[in-house]
Amino acid sequence: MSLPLFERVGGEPEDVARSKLRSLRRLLLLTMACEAWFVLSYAPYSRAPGGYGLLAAGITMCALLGWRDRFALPALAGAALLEFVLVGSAFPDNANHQFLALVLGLLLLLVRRDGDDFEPTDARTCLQATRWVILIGLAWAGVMKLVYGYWLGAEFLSFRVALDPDFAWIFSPLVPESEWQRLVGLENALGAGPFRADAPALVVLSNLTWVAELLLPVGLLFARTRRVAMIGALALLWAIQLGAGEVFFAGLMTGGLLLFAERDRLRPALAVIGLFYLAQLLADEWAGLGQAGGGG
Amino acid sequence: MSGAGRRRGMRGVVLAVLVWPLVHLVLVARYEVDPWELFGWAMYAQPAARVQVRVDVERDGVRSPLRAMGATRQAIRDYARRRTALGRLAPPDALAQSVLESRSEAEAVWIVLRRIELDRRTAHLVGVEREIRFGQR
Repeated sequence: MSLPLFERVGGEPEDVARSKLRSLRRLLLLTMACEAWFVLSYAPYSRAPGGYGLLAAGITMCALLGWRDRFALPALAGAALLEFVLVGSAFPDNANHQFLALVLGLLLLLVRRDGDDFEPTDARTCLQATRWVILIGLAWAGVMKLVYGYWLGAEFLSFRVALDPDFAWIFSPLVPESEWQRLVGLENALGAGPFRADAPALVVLSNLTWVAELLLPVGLLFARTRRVAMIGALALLWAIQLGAGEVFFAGLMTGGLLLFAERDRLRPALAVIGLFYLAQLLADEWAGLGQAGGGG
Repeated sequence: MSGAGRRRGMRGVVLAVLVWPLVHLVLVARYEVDPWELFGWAMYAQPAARVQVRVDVERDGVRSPLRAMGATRQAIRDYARRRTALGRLAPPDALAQSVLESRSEAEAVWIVLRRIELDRRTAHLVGVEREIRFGQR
């Protein structure tokens, strides 16, 4: 990748770059720590709660220590190593945000230290690399939707409307009532279908989604359009997450997208993202208690 | 590692993230790997497919479904999940061998794999079935 192209994702003054990387480091540690406790409720982690609990405790200790600049490097290295063990031992039952976390962690670990802070030239490159990872991910998401073809006739959305109540309510205004009733009456069984709604508005939205995923990365490459593209990408991400509910993936992508801002907008967002993580953990705990109570 | 080397490493990571989804497309097309898995950015590109696994046991030339309990049942469920994620990259040999070892009277074990996915042309759920025979050694 030629140097000018690599630098197309923007730059910032040294102090802003360092602040952004500090915020990214904290987001990464927060995400890894919260997620390590969250997964304990789910297979395969739930089958070895002692071992995975120890991993979660270790990652949490690293996150607490790594919040401060003084212990940042060893804490991040420790968290990344424990995350690698957690991800590797559960393979292939992994979430994609775990791989994203490892990639971001590797980028951060490649940055040299300047006392308790990041070395400025490395920091600049790391930020550009992180922005490229986010941009590439967004673009590939659009390409994949186009290649697999299930968004051209809204088959994917129709399928989710039919079988996923948490997803369905978002699209109810876009599907005629009779077609809605037909879809939700379909079963997740061999031969069922067609999972293709006769709903022009849904088809338009479906195609706009992958088009946006292809155009927004282009917007992120130019200073004039970067801010609008960043806001558009954040809106698209959170619109999808309303139905998908993948909080940790959304947290990491939000952090990555906020790095496109001129200033460190991730720093004030950390608390909000943390609250979302906490809400997810509590909701999961509440659901678990509810199931236990219902079975008793 | 020098500063230049570290920065080259960062650009290398970006290149890997850029190229990996191409490899992922090949893995999905050739080996039936789940598009949702392995960080290919293809989550939500296709409705999630699933693989159902059935084990049949052959005795005196007659084939009948295995009534699996306990650890064997869990092993079949685990394999179904692994097969769904990794496709043909997760062959059923180990599962078949463990069933054969626990049932020495069996002449052979059949692993029946049914992949259920949404057909893009008809938008119906279709199943593609494949079966593999493992003989007693």
